[in-house]
Amino acid sequence: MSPELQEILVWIVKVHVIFLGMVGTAAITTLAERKVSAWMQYRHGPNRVGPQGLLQPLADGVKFLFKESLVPEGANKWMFRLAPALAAAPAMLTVAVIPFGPDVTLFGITTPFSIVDLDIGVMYILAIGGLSVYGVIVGGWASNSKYSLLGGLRASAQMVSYELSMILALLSIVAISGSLDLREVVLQQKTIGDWNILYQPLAFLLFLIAAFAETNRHPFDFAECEPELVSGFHTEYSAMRFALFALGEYCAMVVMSSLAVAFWFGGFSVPFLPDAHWALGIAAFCAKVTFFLFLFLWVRWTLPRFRFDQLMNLGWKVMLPLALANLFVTGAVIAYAPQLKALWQNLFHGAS
Amino acid sequence: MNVPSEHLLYLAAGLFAIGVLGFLIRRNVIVVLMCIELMLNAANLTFLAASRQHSTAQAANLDGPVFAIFVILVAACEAAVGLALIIALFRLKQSVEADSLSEMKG
Amino acid sequence: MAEILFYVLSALALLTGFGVVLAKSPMMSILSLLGSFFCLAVIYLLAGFQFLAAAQILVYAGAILVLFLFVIMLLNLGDMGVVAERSNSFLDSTAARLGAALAVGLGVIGLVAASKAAFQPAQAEPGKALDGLEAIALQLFGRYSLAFEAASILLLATMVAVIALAKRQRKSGQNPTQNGGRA
Repeated sequence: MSPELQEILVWIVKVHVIFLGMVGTAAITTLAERKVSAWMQYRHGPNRVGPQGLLQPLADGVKFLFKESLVPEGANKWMFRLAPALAAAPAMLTVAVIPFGPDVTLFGITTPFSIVDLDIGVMYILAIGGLSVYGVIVGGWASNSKYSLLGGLRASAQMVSYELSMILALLSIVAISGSLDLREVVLQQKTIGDWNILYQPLAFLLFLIAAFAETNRHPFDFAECEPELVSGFHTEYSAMRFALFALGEYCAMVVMSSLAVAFWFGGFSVPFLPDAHWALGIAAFCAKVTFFLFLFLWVRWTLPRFRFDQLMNLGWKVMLPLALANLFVTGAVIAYAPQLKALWQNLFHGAS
Repeated sequence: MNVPSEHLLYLAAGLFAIGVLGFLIRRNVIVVLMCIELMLNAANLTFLAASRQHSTAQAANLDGPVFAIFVILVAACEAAVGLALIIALFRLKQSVEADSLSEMKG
Repeated sequence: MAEILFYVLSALALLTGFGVVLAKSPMMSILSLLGSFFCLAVIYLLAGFQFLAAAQILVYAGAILVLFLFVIMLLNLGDMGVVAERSNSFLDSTAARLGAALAVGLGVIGLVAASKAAFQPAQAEPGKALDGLEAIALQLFGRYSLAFEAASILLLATMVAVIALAKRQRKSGQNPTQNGGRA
C-alpha cells in the first residue's frame, strides 16, 4: 500500500470514527436528558423501548423519519428547507479540529486522534461556530410566523452578544499557551498542576456561561422558551427538519464540552498518569466531556430561566468587561513575567 | 495553487464592478451597504494577490494581509454605523429607500 | 485540482455577487453575499492566506452579515411591505442605465489593466501558508503599530457613534419599550 493511499484511508477511518462518535453521543444525550430530568423529578422517564429505555433515541429517530415534514403556507420554501442544515452543519464541522486523544497506534500506524490539527484551530472553531446563528435566524424568518421570527431575533441577539465574551475567554488561554493549535494547548497541560483551570478560573466561568448561551440551553433558552414563544424559531418545523435542529443543538453541546475540557481541563491527559496509554487518554477525554454534558442537563433542571433584558445586561455589562479585564491582566502578567518572578523571589527570600 | 495573479485580479475587477453596479442601481439602502462590502472584498483580494505576487519561496510579503485586516476592520465599523443610520432613517421615514433621503432637514 | 477549484469558486463568487444585486428580497441578498464571502474565503485559503480566510469568515460571515440580518429582521417586524423592494426599480430610469454602463466600464477597465500587467509567475511555493501568525503579528505591532492604534481609535469612535445614534432615537421615539435598543 502506497503511503498516500494509506494516509487517505487513515483519514477516512478517523473522520468516520470521530463523526459517528459525536453524533452517537448527541443521540445518547437526548436520552440522558430525559433520564436525568426524570431522576431529578422522581419519575421513571422513558423505560419501554429496550432495556431501561436505552433504545429510545433509535425509536425517536425512526419516528422522526416517518412523520410528515410540513412546510407552512406562506413560508419561503427554499430558506425553510435550508435552515435546519445551516443550524446543524457548523457544530458538526467544528468537531474536525478537536483533539480527542493523543497519538494512536493501531495496526502499526501512528496517527494523532483528531481529524486535522490546524495551526489556527481556535480561529477555525470560532469562525465556523459563529455561523450557527444563521440556521436560527433563517429558520425563524422563513417560517412566516411571528413567534418564530421573535425567537430568531432573540437568538441572534443573544448569540452575537455572548460570542464576544466567549472569544475573549478563549483568547486568555491562547495568550498563556502561545498557540492557536488545540493539540498544542492540550499538550501543555500534561499534569494536573498544569491544567489551565488553575490559572484561568475566571475565563472558564465566563466561557461556561457563554457556552450555555451559545447553545441556547437553559437558563438562556430564550430562542425557544415554551411559555412565551411556543418554542420559538422551530415552532413550524416537524419531522427530520426538527430533528436536525435538535441534533445541531446536542452536537453543539458536545463541542462546547470538548472545548472546555481541551482548554481548561487538560484534554486527553490522564490525571496523575502523565505517560498513560492512548486508549486511557481517549477514555479520560470522554469521561471529562461526559461530566460537562451532565452539567448542561443538571443546570437545565435546576435553575430558573433568565428574563431577556437580564440576559442582555449580564452579557454586555458584566461578562464582557470581566472578560476584557481578565485578558488585560493575563497579558500584563505574561509581559512582565520575569519582573514579577524576581519580585516574588525577593519577597520569598526576604521572608525566609 | 498555480493560478496566475492576473486571474485573481480579474476576479477582483469583476466583483468590484458588480459592487459598483449594485451601489448605483439599487434603491434599498441596506443592499447598497452590502454592495459596499462586496467592493471592499474585491479590494482585499487585490491586496492579497499583490502580496502573493511579491512573496518569494524564502520570504513572504505580509503587507497585503495586514492591509486586508485593516480593510476588514473598517468594513466592520462602516457596517455598524451604516446600519445604525438605516434604523434611524427607518424610524423617521418608515422606509429604507434611498429616494426618501432627498430632504435636507430631518 | 486546486486550480479547477479556484475557477469554480470564482464563477460562484461572481454569480452570488450578481445575486446580491438582483435578488428581490434583502434576505436573499444577504444569503448571496454570504455565499460570495465564503467562496472568497476559500480562494484566500487556496492562495495561501489561511489566517485571512479564517478572519474573513469570523468577521464578515460571523459578525457583519449577522448584523445586517438582524437589522433586516428588525425592520421586517414593523412593516412587511417596505423591505420587499421589487425588481421593477432596476434599469427603469436613465440614471440606472448610466450607472450600469459606468459599472460595466469600470469592470472592463479593471480587466484590461490586469491583463496588461504582464506579471512574472508567482514565486511563492503553492500550498504553503504565506501568512504565519507570528509574522503577521510582528508586522501589525511593529511596522504598522501606528495604523493599529488609529484603527483602535476608529473602533472606539464607531462604538460611541452607534450608541449616540441609538440613544437619540430612544428619547424621540413614541414608545421606548418597543424599539430595538434592547433586542
